Amino acid sequence: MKKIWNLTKANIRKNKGQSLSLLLFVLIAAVLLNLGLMLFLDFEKSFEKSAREQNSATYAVLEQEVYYEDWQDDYLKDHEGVTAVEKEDAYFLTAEIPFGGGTMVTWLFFLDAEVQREMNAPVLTAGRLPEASSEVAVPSLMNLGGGYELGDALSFTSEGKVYRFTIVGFTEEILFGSSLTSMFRAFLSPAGFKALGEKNPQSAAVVLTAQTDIADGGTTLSKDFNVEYLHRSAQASVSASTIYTMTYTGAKSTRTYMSTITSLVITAFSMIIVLISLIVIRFRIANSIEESMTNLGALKATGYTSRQLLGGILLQFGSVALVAAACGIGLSYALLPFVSKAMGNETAILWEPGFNAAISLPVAAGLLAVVLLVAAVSGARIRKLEPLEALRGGLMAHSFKRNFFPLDKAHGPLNLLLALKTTLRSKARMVMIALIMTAVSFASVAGISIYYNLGVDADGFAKLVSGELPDAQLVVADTDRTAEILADVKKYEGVRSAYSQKDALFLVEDVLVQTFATADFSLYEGPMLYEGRYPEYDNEIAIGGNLSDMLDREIGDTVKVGQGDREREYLITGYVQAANMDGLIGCLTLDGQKRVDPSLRPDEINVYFTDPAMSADFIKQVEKDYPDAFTTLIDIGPLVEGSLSVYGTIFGGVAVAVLVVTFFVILLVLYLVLRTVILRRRRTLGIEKAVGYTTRQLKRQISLHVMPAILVGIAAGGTIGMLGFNSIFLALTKAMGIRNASLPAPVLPSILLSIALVIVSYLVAMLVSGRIKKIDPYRLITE
Amino acid sequence: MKSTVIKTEKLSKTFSTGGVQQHVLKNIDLEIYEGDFTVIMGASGAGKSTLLYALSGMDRPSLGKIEFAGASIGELSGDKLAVFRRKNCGFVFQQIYLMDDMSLLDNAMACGLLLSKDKKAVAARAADLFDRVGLEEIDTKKFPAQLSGGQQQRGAMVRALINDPTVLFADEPTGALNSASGKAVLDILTELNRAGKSIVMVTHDLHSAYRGNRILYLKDGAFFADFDAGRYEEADESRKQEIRTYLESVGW
Repeated sequence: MKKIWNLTKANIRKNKGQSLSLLLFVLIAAVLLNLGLMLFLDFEKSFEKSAREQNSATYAVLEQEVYYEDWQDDYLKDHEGVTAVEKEDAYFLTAEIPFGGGTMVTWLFFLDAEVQREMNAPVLTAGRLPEASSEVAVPSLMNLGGGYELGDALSFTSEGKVYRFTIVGFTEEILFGSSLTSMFRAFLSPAGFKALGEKNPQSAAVVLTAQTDIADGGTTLSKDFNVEYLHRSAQASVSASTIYTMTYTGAKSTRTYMSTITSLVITAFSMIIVLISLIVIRFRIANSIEESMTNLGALKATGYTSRQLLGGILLQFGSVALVAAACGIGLSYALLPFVSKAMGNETAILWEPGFNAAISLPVAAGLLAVVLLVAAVSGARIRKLEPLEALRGGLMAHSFKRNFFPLDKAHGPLNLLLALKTTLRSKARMVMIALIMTAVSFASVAGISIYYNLGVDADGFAKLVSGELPDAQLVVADTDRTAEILADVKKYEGVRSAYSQKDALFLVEDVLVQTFATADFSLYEGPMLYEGRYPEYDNEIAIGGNLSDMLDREIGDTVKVGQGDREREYLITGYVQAANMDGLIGCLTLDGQKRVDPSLRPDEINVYFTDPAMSADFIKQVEKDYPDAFTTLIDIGPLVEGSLSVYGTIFGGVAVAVLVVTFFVILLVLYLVLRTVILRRRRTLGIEKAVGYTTRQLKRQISLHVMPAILVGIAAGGTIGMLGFNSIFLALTKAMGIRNASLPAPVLPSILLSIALVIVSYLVAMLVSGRIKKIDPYRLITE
Repeated sequence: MKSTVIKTEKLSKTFSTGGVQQHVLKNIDLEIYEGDFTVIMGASGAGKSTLLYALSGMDRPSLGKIEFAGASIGELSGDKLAVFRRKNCGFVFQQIYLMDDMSLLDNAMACGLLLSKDKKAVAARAADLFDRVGLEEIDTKKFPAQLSGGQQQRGAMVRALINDPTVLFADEPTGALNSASGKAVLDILTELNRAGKSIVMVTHDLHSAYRGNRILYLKDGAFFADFDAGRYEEADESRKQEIRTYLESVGW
């Protein structure tokens, strides 16, 4: 063992630079892998832990008081698996809140802070509960993402009225309190709660919370309750704003969504780095055996066994991998607080990650195992090496290959021709470089493309998520006036198009579905329909892709749509997509909607302008022209910008990280490859120097010889990245309900990035090959 | 009156190995004349090859000056020195040092195209030189490993001559060849010198030394003796005897 360790130490000492570069490779892989898995596994656990500590409900219903009926809490109590039910009074508003530099339009409900509750009692992350009537405690997201501090004023608008409170506390929320769940819970003092009720009696609401014996029990409960609700509902016109339900499972998946997709992206990228490390290790070992052939022969001749020599190689790469994995995992823990903060801004989950042996030890062991495996496979040829053959420098197989680019005939600059000769004689090396460059440029371009579509020009993404994304949306209070107001709205300056629609919650084959109806679907401008057509007759429906999967129904099949005791049959004419209700959506004609609920009338007016920037002025004007006519007026642009900024920030961070790692990969790969090339070709380089080639010419030759592989790799990776990012995007957003994306590939940024990668590669190659400058031709030949 | 092509002043070369300084060349003042076939001799370790590579700009002196074709080559940057070499120096090495992964023709072309962009002209010159060195029957598209040692060395001479250098430097050019191949190489060098090419050759082989008209003898890194041997005639046995006597007198 001591002999093997001595061999290992000698090998590491001899190849310090290469050992360091391999160490960096494995280190980067370990950082990313540990980060990705921690985010994927530990983040969710943190959410679950908070839920346990808060004794969280697994199901919550929020509805306007007028819709509440006594059977509801009895139904919940009697439902199988329900262990506790609580009912509480609340006030429920649709609020436009300044948030993180933009405006957030969300549902906001207020509770009396002093009411005793078993489930989801307020847990403060900062400050205190309100005592005075002007004080409020709000979800911690308002602090993390919204930029509010204790003592700040919370001023928001709801149905034209302005509300103003002072923030005295921030609470940790499980079911309510994330911009993704679109529902915020706030606590007022008893006096404040009473005052709000007096100011807004129509906003009185009821919150029902239930706990089930299993955490996922809320899902079944929700489905059953919704079915019962719609069957029993004595109220007409049940829309998405009539009743709001949330399950623990739904909240968890929604709030950990960003961490999940970020962790998937990081983990996938770390896999690419691991793969690259293994390719490079294999390359290094093969070359190391070639370079040390005479030494190996001498060692074998003096009595070292193949096992000892192989053991030396395994110990060399194994010890490097172990140190790198340990350092990488350590570094990832140092980075986790920053990741936690970035995630917290969006998810409002307070994640304080500590060392997790269940994740980090397998990461270290896994990396070590694959490195050892590749080292063992690559070093296996030592067994077949005879001492004499090794002492002679190995079997010199003279392969009289084609003389590529004969200099008397081939056209082109001399240095390029000489470089290309070398390129074509080192096919295996070129394939390796091309594969690595394909992988990193694919990751870079895909990362940039997703970032571009989420962070820079998010219009396409917003339309995918929203289905239909007008510039402004007005919700009319009195549906008798909708047609009249719509006709007038069309006459406003700059209005390009306007239509009315109605959304209503129906049961489609006993699945709660948000349906949209309008008089003319041709006015829809968003990418909602992705296959088939919109309904044209009152017995037709287009359904969400996720709903289609859930029901196992296709275009041409029929589905039963119902509410209360009415149920009608509809023919599926197409598939639609939007992130509402996880894609459980449908489109009906207005008459089609009325077949189920004859009382329904359009109350939403969607408006498009010739210039979307006109939206803000339009809203001011229409509000002035029609006082008290609207319950909500939304300038969609700033709203979307605000809610998507977090995606932009997170994916921007991921894209930057991918680019930084890509740069290091290029640097390390070219360092390892070119160093090996210079070592192996030192004699030829020496001859060329002797006969009059300048250092600059040789550097150019060495750099140019890898460029074809780099160009092919970057072109392939860039193209796949540009063409494939929609598929990656779909894989990440399928659960949300997005089924078909044709987001524009950012061609120019991708091409510029690819060109930048080529230039960086060339410069790095020139830099790395600069080491031949110091060597005299005489020594290059004779050493 | 012969014109000087290379002139050294107090040329010294010191190697440092493991902290130990080794003075390989010591204060050498020397002139190499145009049209001469200068032979450098000396015992092993006397500094012959070191002197040759210093004179040719392949290696830099530790001290002293070297004037070559009017240029002070010790002061040139690495790249300027490379450009200087491609114009003024041709090399023939004992180990031949052809580029294994290029055909014989490409070995010559790769050197010739450094000075001329005219591929046809360089290829024609290479063909002419291949004829002159007796490789007219050989397929010059072959790789070095497909040829005999003598053929390889003659191919290396074509490469050395393709740019018509001011001086042809030869370091033990017959050292790795059998006697027949060695003689053929020496005949070509002699022929080239007769045609006016300046040659500086390092050798420890007496038969090679006969070819020079001037023999320099190095001892312990210092210039020890300079012998005017007259022009080579194969049948001139008395000249050979004179050279032998001279060499014995200097301790060879």
